[in-house]
Amino acid sequence: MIYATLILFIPQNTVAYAKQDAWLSFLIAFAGGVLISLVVINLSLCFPGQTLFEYLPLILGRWPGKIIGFFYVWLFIHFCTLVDREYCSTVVAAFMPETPLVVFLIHGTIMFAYITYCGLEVLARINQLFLPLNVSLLTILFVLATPEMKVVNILPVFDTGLLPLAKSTLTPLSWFGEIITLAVVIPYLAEQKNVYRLTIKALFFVLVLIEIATLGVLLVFGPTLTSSYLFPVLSGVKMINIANFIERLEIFPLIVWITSGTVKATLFFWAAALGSAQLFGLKDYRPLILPLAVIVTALGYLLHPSIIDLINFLTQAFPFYALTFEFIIPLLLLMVVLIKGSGKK
Amino acid sequence: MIFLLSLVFLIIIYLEVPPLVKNKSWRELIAFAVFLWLGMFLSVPLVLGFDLPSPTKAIEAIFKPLANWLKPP
Repeated sequence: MIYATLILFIPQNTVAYAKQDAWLSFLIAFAGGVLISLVVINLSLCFPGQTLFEYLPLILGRWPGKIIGFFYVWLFIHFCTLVDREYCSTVVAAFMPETPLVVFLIHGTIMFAYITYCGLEVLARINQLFLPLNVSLLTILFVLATPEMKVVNILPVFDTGLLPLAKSTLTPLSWFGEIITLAVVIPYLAEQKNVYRLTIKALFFVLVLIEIATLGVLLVFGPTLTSSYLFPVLSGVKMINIANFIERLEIFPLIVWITSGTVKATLFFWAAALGSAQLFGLKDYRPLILPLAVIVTALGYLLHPSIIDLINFLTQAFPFYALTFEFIIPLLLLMVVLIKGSGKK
Repeated sequence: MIFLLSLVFLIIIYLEVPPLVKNKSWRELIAFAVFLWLGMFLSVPLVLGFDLPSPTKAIEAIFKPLANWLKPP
């Protein structure tokens, strides 16, 4: 089972800071993502067969561990809500402005709840089904857009200073950092031994997909226009016009968004359900699914008044908030484990 | 709307609670109740039209200095 999160929003402030070198900041973010995943995997391998929520109390003691665990449950619920909200807002803003947001939110959460009810394997199979479709769709769109592209748009290369580049890296880094979910998934992987290779492969795969989208959009629009569009990828695909016949292909990025977003949000939803069940000491997480679905729907509506607010949050406060949980806390935990020398059973 | 929402909650309770009571899994029942209560706490005011403070605001307030540093020019 290979697990890949697909992230297809191009962060405006990455482009706003790094300008034509935005593709470079994704490369750096990929390196950071590998570092984060190494921390998480090493931490998990100290406690074979246990998820993050089971070994947190072992590392920190019963109650502090549970409290941190509940923060992680909140984090996964929040991630799930954010992904859900991103995709629903996109549909509402770009395709169906008349329909209330809550309709899409309810549809989304019913789907997550059902997939989670069926278990992790079903989710992995869904990913297997959608991933080739998504990859081929993105590649085809990239190829179709080549007539609109101008290489001048990403020149001059390496023109950005170091500080803007560092700033532009943070948002993609926090997205690569969502690999923290691995701390919950690892005990359920079929091939325990290959986990390093699999993870880096999955991250690399995500990198390639992001680069296809980013480079495509940058080549078509150039940095200034890209940072001013709300949905650069959608606008980029709208530019495709071959012989006045193949045009208006916006529905295809939407297919990619919705399928990959479903997989990603469901993974977070599953992690939240499993995590809360393990924190309460339950045998089965299924009774918690429906209440969690209600929470996700309500939060999805509540968190942000508008899509602009959502994007501002994602590109400004979110990187620091997410990286605290994704990198700093796992790193501290790993240090505690190494110092105490506990964990090896 | 409030009737629809209550109906949803009733359906959820109807689906989940009887098997839990039958199996005497009280722990599950407590966890279920906690989460359902949280869900009610979040959704009922929304339907009735009250303004709940968004948790986003708290997170934004905590990370405000750093976030301002990251604001695009």
